[in-house]
Amino acid sequence: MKTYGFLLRVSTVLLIVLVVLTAGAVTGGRPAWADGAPAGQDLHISQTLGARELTVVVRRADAVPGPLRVDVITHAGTPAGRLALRVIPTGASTAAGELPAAGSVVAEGTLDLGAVPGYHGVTLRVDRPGPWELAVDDGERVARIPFIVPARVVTPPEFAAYVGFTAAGALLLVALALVVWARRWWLSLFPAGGMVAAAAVGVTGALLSATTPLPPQAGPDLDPTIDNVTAPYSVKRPPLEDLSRPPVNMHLRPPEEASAGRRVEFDLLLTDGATGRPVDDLLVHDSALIHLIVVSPSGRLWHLHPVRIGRGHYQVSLVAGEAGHYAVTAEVARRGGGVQLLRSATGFEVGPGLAHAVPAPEPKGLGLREVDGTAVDLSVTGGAYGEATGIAGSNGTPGTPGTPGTEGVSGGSAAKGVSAEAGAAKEAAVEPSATEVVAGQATTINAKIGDTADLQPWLGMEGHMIVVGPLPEGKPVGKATESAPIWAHVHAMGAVRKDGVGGQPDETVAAFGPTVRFTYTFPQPGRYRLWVQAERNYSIVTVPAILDVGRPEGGDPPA
Amino acid sequence: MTDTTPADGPSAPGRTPASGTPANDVSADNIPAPDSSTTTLGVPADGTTSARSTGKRRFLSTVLSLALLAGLALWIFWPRDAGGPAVLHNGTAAYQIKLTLHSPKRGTSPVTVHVTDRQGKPAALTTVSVEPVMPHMGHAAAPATAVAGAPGLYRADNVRFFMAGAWEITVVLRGPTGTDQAVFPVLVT
Repeated sequence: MKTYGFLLRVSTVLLIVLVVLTAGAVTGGRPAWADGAPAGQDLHISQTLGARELTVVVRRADAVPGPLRVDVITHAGTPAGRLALRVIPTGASTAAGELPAAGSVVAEGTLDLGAVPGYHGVTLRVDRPGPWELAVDDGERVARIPFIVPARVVTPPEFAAYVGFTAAGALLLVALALVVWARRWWLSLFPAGGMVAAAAVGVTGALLSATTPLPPQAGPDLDPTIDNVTAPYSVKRPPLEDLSRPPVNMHLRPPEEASAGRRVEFDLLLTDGATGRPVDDLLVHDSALIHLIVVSPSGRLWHLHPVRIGRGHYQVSLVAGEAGHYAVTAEVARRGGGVQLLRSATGFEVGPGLAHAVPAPEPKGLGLREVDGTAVDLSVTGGAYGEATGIAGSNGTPGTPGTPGTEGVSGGSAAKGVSAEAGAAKEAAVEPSATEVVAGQATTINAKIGDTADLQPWLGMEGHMIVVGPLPEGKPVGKATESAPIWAHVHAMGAVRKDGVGGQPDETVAAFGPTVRFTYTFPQPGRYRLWVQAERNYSIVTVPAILDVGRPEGGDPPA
Repeated sequence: MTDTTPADGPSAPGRTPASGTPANDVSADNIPAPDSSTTTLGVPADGTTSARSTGKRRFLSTVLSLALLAGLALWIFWPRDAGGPAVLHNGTAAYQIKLTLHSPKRGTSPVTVHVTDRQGKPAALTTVSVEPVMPHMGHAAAPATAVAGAPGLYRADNVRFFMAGAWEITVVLRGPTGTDQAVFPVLVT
């Protein structure tokens, strides 16, 4: 009898504990003990802030309120100086809450950038989940970077699993207590039956939790608010299948006075193609809000990342290489839709200026050259044409279509995994004279940059290649590219993995290359300009080249 | 049985003669009647009372558990905040804004904007306008100017939401310190 009493007391205590836990799970909403994958990833965002090219990394916030780590990576040529960083919540909310309303600065810090390129970090603080803005202030202008502090969300199946298993445990103890305590043994069958039901709910929830589709995501799909970040399953959503939005118009507000050799700053105003209102829902894609490509009259290329200074208002600057007309395009991704290319219809003009600002010489075709002290070798493999080699030389005469299949290789060496080194050896043997790149055929352009695997991931990729063409003869490159039918941005993804903890590696990981490969199908025959870009020693190497693309046998390439 | 018989006896000599009145007789006869009927059943009477009470208990517990289940189902399936006004809070560097969309349904609805400064004092603005847009559709509705009422309170009476779906109300505040904007996403049903 004594032991029964003891058992009874123990089971009662356990029962009370379990009931309290269950009640907590049912009413608590966000149980602190819920496990699951850490929400969110690091946000990498490139910013051309005045004369500085910065990569801002907003590390994922694990707890709210809690610390927020912001790292700023500087590049070669970034002037030393001080940046002020501030974080500001921006999201609307249905609850007034105890925290001050959105719009005021929650935390600030400063960063002293040295002259040596590298890594600088500061720890700020965030006090709520939802949309935020990181203000990066260099004293002259403020870049406002939107980002989202995620909340830990328990999905409904996860919730069912938690509640089901907890209830099953509680009912098991009730059943035991009844067996011990109640005079009628069969009474324990009720909690036992309930336990089986609860366990079934738990197992079902646990099995479903991995495969249940996510609701539309605040940020990529929906305008983020505190509510839809905190409770994405309980907010009412419009029954939308298509979350895309109208296209964007880009107005380039030209600099008032621009002269060659001096820094030129200009504004980009993005407006909605249907309402005319400012477009303020750009997403970070390939580590930037806007990828702006500027081509100078002689074919110099800038790949810049304008800073957001207001709603739909972006700003960027560059040192104009020479006088003449500059072509401008921008790649942006709106919330709910894909990436779109905005081609400025106007470009901008730069007047004559400093004496040393002269046009760049015309670049080579494929082959070996030196760029900023780095040996770069460009070669081509691809299509049914096997190993192709150099083409139009620096004299710039368009080549004639070569004989296909001279190597007798079908499928190309890229498919067979022949290394670029082997390709380079063959190049030496074959006279670089004939065009072997043909429109409509997938072509791989290999760029061997340096000799060791020390490339850094830039914008989340091993390399970038801008392709513009076909270009008419005798027209300045700036004017010609502005009206060129093809304007492409090719990525070399290579070995950069994006599925690590926190997402992609940042630029401090210098372990890629030396050969980066771009596969592109040139849609039309003609003369193209290429620019291959990769990062090495915190400096962007831009390799310009000219490529003549031949007409395939039997007429134009398939549409 | 033995206890009740003397009381039953209307002609009991020991009793007051006044009790011999017909009215008293009737009452005396009627009141004990159910008593006697139950008691005459003797031992089985005990069994039926307990059976009845357990039946009652079962009925009660069934009703209670059903009510509990119904309550739970109601709690789970009850439509939340259906039809009520949509209230949203947001802010800018200078102001805190509370927007009330009185009827978040297709059609026209008043929109109230309550603006305070960051210290919570009512803000004095020159104009407050409300600009509704459907960002996915690319529809913009006519903007409305909110008229000042009480300090810090601005109201636009007829803001037209011509379609159900996700809307975005931009509140533009023009005041002594310049122009501020805040965006409020609302769902119109």
